[in-house]
Amino acid sequence: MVRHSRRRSSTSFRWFPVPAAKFAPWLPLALTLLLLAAAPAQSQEPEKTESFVYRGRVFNGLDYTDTFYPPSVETIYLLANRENILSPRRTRVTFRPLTGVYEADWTSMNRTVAGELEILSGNEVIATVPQQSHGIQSHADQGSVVSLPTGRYAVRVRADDGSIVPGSQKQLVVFAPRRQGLGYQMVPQEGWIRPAHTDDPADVIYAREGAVLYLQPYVAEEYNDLYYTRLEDPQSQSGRKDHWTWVHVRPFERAGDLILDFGQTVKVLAMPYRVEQLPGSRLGYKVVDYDPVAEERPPDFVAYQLFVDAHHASYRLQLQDADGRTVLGSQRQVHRVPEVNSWALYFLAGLPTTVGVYLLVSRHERLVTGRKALPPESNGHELWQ
Amino acid sequence: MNRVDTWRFRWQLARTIGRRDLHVAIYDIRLYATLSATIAIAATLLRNDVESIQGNGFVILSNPLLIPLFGAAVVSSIYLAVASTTTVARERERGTLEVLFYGPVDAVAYLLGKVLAQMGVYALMVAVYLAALALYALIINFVFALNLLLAALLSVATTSAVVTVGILLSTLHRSVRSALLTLLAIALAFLGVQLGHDHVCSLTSGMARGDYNPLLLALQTLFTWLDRIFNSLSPLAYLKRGFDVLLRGSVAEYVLTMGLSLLYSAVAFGLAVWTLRRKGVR
Repeated sequence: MVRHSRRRSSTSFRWFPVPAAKFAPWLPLALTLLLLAAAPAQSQEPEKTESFVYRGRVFNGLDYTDTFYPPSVETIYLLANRENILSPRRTRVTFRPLTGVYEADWTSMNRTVAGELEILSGNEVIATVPQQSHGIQSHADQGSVVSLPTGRYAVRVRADDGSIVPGSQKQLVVFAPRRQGLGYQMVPQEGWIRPAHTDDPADVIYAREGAVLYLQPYVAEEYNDLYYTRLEDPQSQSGRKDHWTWVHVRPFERAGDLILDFGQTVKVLAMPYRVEQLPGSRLGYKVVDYDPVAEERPPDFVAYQLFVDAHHASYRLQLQDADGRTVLGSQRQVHRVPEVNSWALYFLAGLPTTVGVYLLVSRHERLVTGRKALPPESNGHELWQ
Repeated sequence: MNRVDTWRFRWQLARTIGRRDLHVAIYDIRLYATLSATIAIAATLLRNDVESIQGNGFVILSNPLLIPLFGAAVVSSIYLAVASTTTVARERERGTLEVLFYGPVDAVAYLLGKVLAQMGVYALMVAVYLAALALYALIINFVFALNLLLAALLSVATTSAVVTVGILLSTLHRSVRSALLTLLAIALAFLGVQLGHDHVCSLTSGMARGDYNPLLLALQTLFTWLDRIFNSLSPLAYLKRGFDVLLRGSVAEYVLTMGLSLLYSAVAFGLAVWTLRRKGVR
């Protein structure tokens, strides 16, 4: 037999959360007051401070972008095995509380800091890069070219007198894509809204019946979300280290046919198209076929046309390359979504309550019927057996 | 009676108590109202998706049913948190707990029965949600993916943490009112820390630490630590992390989140048993 000890059942045992509970409701109020006390610091006039900064011209997988690394940025993110320029400068820096970023006033001060860029792995200097003029994508700039394999490094500037320039040491994260895949840029025939992208083979394209969609295949690379976000915008507070993001790096040039598979296969050829602005008060654009004989100007884009018909609820598409081989990662599912009456969706929500009411009512009736059937001296326990 | 027989007997008792509590829960209209409300929320989310597809011509989605299931799991967790927090306190308040313990029931068997009952309720709720989502998937022609079942399985583990924490709170109190007030206080504290952390982060966003107002710096440090502590204590944070992991498709993190949730439940259950033994049944 299991024994139960009630040794302390009558003692007044104290437990932390009980007294804590008395004060917990006041906690949000107290913290709000503290926050209000801290907030006035934001209303101060922004000051311009002369600072050491890095100016960058970095490769983002697609092209080069200009970046700025104020003292608040502790880590620089760069793509592996690509030429990037880091230029040490002195400028006046202002913090903008509304946008939460530091801005450089290059017009009032834009002074190159003389010295060589040292790259460290651990505590060891593995490379010293002098500053010189470079022309990347017709953009002349003065700075040190950094091209490194994947890894964690540090950078700093050693001045001509041999000292380390104060504020120049920063962490350097050099990263590569996790995987390469095939993405599609998609637009509907009407509306010409901002293009949508599907990069992951797990994505499903849900389309309404009769929709005409245009697909353009792209080579996509998947990068660490935090690293890539900070590469493009070093002061960004978004981006997550445990997330991954796809980047369309270039159009897929060796594309063959698009294969639609719904039991039988259909080949779709890439065709040229033109974009027409809708006339009158209607906003938006419309994609129309391109006639190479009648048209004087070149087509606006080349794409695969996908018509979502009424006969197939779902099918699979995949791209072949110019040699007729299926391109890895090009598969996607397409599902036709019918028009659905909202009430049909909400009707289902009412079912559990209906069942609950039915159960309660039938139980009540069972009890009433059973009680009437019992002899007057019964205490009703038989009904619970 | 040896150790094996003792546990076998406890298990029988727990099943009896669990069956009784499950019977009571099944005849509670609030359970059905919660199910209806949750399915209505899912219907609204799916209706928005359908309207977006009809309006734009197409939408690219990877797991459109996962978010409604997440919402359903959160609402169910709140329902079960309240139910678990009141369960022991109510029986203690009415005196039925003391009567029960004059029999062969001990703290382990009693609380295990309570956990089984609440988890039985959740299993029923999840089955209803999955059935509803499968029906919606059929109507809208959405993909009912395997990871939806994995998400449901994970939610069972995280809900067991919610239930055991609720039962732990319940063992600490002699009345339903004080138990519910404690639950409310904890929920408000969680919310306060979350809002405070977000607010401080928005104030300091992008600012170099050297430029902080000293009070702001102290507050940021305080809120960052509180947020970390609360995130590691909140079972709902485990649920959120688990669904996030599923969206990313990380098997190792999924297993880790599941394991941590079960460990959390085991620790909370152990504490509940210890508390009931120390505090007694009156």
